[in-house]
Amino acid sequence: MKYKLKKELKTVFDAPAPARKEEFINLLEYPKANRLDFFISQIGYIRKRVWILSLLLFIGTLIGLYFSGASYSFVWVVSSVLPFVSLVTISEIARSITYNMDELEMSCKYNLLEVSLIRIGILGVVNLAVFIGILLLLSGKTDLGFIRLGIYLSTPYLLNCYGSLFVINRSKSRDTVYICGSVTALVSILNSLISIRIYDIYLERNRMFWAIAFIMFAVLSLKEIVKFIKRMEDLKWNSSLTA
Amino acid sequence: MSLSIHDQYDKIYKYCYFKVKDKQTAEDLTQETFLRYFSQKSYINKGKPLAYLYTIAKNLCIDFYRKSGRDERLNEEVPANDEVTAFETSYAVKQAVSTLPVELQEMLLLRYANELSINEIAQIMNISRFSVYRRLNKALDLLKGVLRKEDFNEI
Amino acid sequence: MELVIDRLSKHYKNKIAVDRVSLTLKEGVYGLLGANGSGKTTLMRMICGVLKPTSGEVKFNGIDVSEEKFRDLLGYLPQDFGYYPEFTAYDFLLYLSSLKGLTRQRAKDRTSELLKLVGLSDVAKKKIKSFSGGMKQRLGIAQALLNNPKILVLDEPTAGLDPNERVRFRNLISRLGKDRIVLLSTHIVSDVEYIASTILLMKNGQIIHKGPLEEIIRPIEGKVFECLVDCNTAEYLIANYPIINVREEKDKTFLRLVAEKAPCKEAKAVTAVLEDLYLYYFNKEANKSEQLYGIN
Repeated sequence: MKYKLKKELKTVFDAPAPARKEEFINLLEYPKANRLDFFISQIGYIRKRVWILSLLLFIGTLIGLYFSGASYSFVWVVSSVLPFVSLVTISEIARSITYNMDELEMSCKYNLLEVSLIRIGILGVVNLAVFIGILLLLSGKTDLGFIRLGIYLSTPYLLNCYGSLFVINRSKSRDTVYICGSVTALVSILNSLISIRIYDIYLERNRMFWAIAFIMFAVLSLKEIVKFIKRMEDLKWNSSLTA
Repeated sequence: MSLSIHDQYDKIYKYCYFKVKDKQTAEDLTQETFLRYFSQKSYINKGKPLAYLYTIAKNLCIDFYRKSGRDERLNEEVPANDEVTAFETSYAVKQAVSTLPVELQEMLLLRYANELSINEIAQIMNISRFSVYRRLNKALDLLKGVLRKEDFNEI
Repeated sequence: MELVIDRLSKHYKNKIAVDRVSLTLKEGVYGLLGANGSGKTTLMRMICGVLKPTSGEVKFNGIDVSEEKFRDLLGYLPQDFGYYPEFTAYDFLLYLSSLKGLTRQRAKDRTSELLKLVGLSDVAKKKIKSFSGGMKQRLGIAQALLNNPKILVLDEPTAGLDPNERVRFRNLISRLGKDRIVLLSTHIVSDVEYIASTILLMKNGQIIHKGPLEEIIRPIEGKVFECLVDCNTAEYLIANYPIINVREEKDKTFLRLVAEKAPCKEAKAVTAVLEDLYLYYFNKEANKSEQLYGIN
């Protein structure tokens, strides 16, 4: 009996139907999230792999330094690993395009352009922090100056940035990730081929070669990034002219 | 708020209607409740518990009474309303409920009609969980007593 | 509430996809009908700010399409969309909620509400990877409604939906059209026939007809005939009249066609339906009729 009583009590307090409910709910203005909230939420959407890889690289460098010391070979090894950071970073930045979310995101209040700029900003800072960290760790432990060390470490990375961005800016397929992966592998292999005669490569007299390569890849990467950002503003592909 | 706003609207409306017994006023107060709830900055990221919504409604009803000079305790009559679904058995229960003191009626509404948890009710009424249990049981016992008196065995 | 589209055009190197389209849309449901390649998607993309026009403007109550305020009032379902691979339906809607400026709490409430509306509540925590085409499409419809938009643009929204889901969708759109502007494109005529208050016919980048169903049908009202004839007559008719439907029966041919008056003695006049108009306009052999009826 008690059970049934409780059931009855459910309807005992029923009131005549409200008349203005739908209208009210439709017009109800909810508090909106501001840009800062959006920014913070975007940080949460950056995949863990970026943080993990950056951390691993940093720790790896520390460990490697401890065990083998800062030889030229070590510098070469680190410079061959940095391109992978570039790969992961650029894949992350281009996620919207790779997974075909770009059109949807472009139509939102905080659109694809903003999402991309935030990603580039945050990841750029993280990359820079890792790079500077490693640079600081290694500098003073070799006979290479700070600047030369910086150039040797970053040039393969920049080459990879350029290569990956090049591919991403010119295609839209899911396979872009694999293509960038190949580019990275290529860069690493290239780096190792060149560095077979390590001591020659890092010689004073090859300074020019490195400086030119560095500037060239940096500028090209910058151009590609700008191109990428422009592309985030609206659809530029006319691959789907149908309908 | 884990329930949709549609459901919440209906429930708050039910609550306000119980308090003011007037359709228009109840709806006005319901809408005002939501407007206030959403205007609080703290809603934005934490989502205040349901109890807060009811507290706003409760205070609005009290203000309404103060302004209109009516006594809150003066709602003994059960509205014999055609618009409200009236099963035969419910009518007897309704009558029984109306004989209870108002605070207990409110308890029953919050617990059984609006399906609030003991914790939430405790927060809204500003009493302990134990008190909530006690009062609910008291209300149910009183009800059973009244219903048995009317020889109403088949509920 | 007014969405003003003023001489909107999109030119590509060797094609004009949208040709100086001008429209003023108010509350209600607008059905955009047209064959593939007629420019529907391009037009919709420009209305959503996702594609920059070659010339022309789009404004909603004076707010230009390029402004953030415009996007805040917009809900869009593209013809094709993807998802981040690890996302569940719930994640997907939460993610887009944050892009649409909903607060976290509101996003959760709204997500639950919409999943229930489109019938995906029980698969809310399943990965989108595992969804069927129809389920994904319903998810797409849900995301378009997250910010309770005043302008709802849906590109082929019923693609992949089964007949039941289609009916559910039609009812939803009818309700939504009451106090917002809904523009939906399709080539399934029946989607639009019952729910659109205004039909927009698009061909070769232009809107060739705009109006309620009765008005649109008028050009061919009383001009649609059906007949069952022998193959010689059939050949003659096919060569001289715009044919809507042909069917080979045992030893005769069934034809449904458009003509000023009965083309042969066996022909019976039938009520024109939107499908007729659509096929009549978008049938490649309709050249002759264009001379007879003109494009107005």
